[in-house]
Amino acid sequence: MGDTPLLSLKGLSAFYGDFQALFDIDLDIGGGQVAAMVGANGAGKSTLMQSLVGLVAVKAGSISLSGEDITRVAAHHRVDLGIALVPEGRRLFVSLTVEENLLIGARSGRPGPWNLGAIYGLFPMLAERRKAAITTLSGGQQQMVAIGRALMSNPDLLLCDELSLGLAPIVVREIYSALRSIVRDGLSAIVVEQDIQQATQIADRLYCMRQGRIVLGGAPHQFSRQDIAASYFGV
Amino acid sequence: MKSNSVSATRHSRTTHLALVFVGVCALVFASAPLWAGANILRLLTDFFLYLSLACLWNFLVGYAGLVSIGQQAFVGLGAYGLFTLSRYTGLNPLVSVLIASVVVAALSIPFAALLFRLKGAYFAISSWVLAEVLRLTAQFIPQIGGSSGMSLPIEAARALGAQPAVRFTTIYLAAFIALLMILSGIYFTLQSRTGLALTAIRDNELAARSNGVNANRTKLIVYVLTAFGTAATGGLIFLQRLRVTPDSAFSISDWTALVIFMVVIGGVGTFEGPIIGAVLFFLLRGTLADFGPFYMISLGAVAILIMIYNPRGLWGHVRDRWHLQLLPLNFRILSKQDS
Amino acid sequence: MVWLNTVIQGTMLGGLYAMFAIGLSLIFGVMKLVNIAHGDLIVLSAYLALVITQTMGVDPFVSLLIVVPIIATVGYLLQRGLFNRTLGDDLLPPILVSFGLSIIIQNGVLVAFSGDDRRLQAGPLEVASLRIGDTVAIGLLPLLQFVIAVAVIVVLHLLIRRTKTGRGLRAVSDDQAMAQVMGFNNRHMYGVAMALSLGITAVAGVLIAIRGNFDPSAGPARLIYGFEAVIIGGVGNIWGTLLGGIVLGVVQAIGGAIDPRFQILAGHLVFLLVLALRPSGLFGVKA
Repeated sequence: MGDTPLLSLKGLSAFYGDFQALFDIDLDIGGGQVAAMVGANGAGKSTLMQSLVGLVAVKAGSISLSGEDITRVAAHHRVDLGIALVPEGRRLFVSLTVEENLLIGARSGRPGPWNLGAIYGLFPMLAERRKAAITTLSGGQQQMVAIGRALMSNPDLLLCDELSLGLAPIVVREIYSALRSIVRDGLSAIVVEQDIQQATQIADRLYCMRQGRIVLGGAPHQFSRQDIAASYFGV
Repeated sequence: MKSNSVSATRHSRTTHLALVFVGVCALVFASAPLWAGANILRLLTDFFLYLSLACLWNFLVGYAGLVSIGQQAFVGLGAYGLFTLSRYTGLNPLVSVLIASVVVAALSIPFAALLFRLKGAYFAISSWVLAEVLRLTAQFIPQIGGSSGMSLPIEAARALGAQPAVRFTTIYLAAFIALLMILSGIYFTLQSRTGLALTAIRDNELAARSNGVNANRTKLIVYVLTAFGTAATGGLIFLQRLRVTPDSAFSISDWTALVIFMVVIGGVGTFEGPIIGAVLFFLLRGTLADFGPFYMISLGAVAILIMIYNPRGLWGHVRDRWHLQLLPLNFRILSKQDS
Repeated sequence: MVWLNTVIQGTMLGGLYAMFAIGLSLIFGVMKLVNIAHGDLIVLSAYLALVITQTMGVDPFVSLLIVVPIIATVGYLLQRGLFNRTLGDDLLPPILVSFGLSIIIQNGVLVAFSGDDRRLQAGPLEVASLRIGDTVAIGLLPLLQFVIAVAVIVVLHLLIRRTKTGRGLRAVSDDQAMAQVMGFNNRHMYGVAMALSLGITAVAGVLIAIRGNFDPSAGPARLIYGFEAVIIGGVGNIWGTLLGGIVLGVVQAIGGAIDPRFQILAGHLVFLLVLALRPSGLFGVKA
């Protein structure tokens, strides 16, 4: 890890319509670091992810990637700079096949280890269904496509928003074990979850958000369950 | 702040002044036959009729979100209703206009059943197709003159007055009364439950529906009321012209395009907008209408610029800038310090 | 046998309507835009072809090589400069802006070319026909036009299904925000969709101008035919739209055979009938 963190947020504030969703967020993610971002529904986690990819405009503060200010960079240029998102609810392109969805991810043409072969190696199930329509896939398979689509851009920073949403526990374990192998080689990631258990297991850092603010941050083992629960619910 | 220190009102000093102004205008216009010559009366009649169309289109589009480019359907039906009744029943033309408008309003219900199946711009184009169907059908029916149309029977014209001057005055007063009724009809509808429902639908249709607002029924009410008013206006327009043809009665450029430009320039979705637009339009018409196509090109260009840079039009701009409203339509929240 | 000829003629005409329609449904599919000026841009391409055939002395078919790129570029620029500014939650601006554009084009063409009827000349091809048996005759020109229409639609289909650009257009159409996150500049993609839309309709606009007269006010009717074909065929289905165009063409031809004044009205009535009985279209998939 160099002196400049991979991602650095300073005093970030953002609105969702008239509603202020993020207040003065400061956050550093180092190269190779995996941060778990937990918090209740509506705490601002997804808005934070959306502001990182440029879908939600930032009202104040700054976002830097490898020391470069990208606060005003248009959403469609951010993937070229190395930020990829696995969005909440997966949001795959339903009129595209599995493979076409993955190829869309490769649009930026960034070099790196991830290509169709590598994705199919990680998720062999997808190789069998490469020509399938998205709607015929199970929820877990769709989540694999969403992860694969993000990886295809060979990002420096992977943002995962609620990977476990709507999936059976056994599928969630499978997805997280894949994620563990993905970040093993030094890819930085922010993993947003409502489920504290899953997220903390693969993270080097744990952050808890409540009402648009980061209310807790540090190494996961620093905090007891009570600490986390207290900041999660604000009691 | 305690709850009793806040109040909501629709009125302000501006709205009181505006009401006085409206009253003065009404007196001036009502007495126009006493002081104005035939040319001015005709110009004012035209103005009232166009203003009626503009307010009705704005009611439909700006408040109910039903973007129609086929209102010429109702102008034409109103006109043909008048001419047909006059030819075959010999009723007084003004009575015929009223009956025709009621029939057209009833007809608009099955039209709505058909057109409401499409949304947004598809609704817009199909409303136009419907008007085209009526125009082409009128060309087919020999009893109403086919494609050459028909004239108002002389007896019907005479029923409005033996001399042309008397006739102009009658039509002028009818157009003025129709305008007043249309304006107050829209005004009171907007203040009623339907108006509240419209505001709710405009702000968020989904939320309005889930709070028990029947959006389709509300839109249907506006559609039918607009059809009624547009048919009445159409009847009066062609009563003044004494002659109707399918192409003139169902003309999109005369009865919809110009009206759209007036409303867009004045301000869609504001009560005052169409009035401002119609006044401007008539002030400019005298000087620019001779330019023909160039006039239409500039109207189109102005409408585009307004839609892009200021979609609420001239009046919307004025209102937002100075927090002004002339007619007491929206509540303003006042605290004791202000009032 | 007269009827068979009528149906064949209608089918050929329907191919052109299908091209108008596919231009419309392409931009609706990608950016939910309905361009009221669509028909006027179709007529504009016919006038452009008129100028090119007259000044350069080339055949209308050859003029396509110039007309199509020009109109496609106009489409891209219109989208980037005008329509992109109107996209959002409010449905009024795109409708009214394209309506304003429609009036501007109609009147602009009127000033430039007067209101006279015009027609593109294709020489001996116009009267050549293919006889099958004793009674059935297919005009070579309509046949050629139909073949071109089907070919253009097939090419568009392949472009959308098989190419990188097509994949991008589908992605943008599915989820605009996610397409942006994946690196697509939606404003550019919308421009590409409009360029394709108008490129296709320019072909149809020139072809139909070889077959019948046009004047500055002919645009709205062409917009309506395209729109009717979309609804009759079922929104969002490229082959349904082709069939919708053919149904409309055949109905118009039959109506016209009964009474020439009935031609257009027959088409409108079938459209209203479909709207009443099967709003999802004859060949549409129910949503």
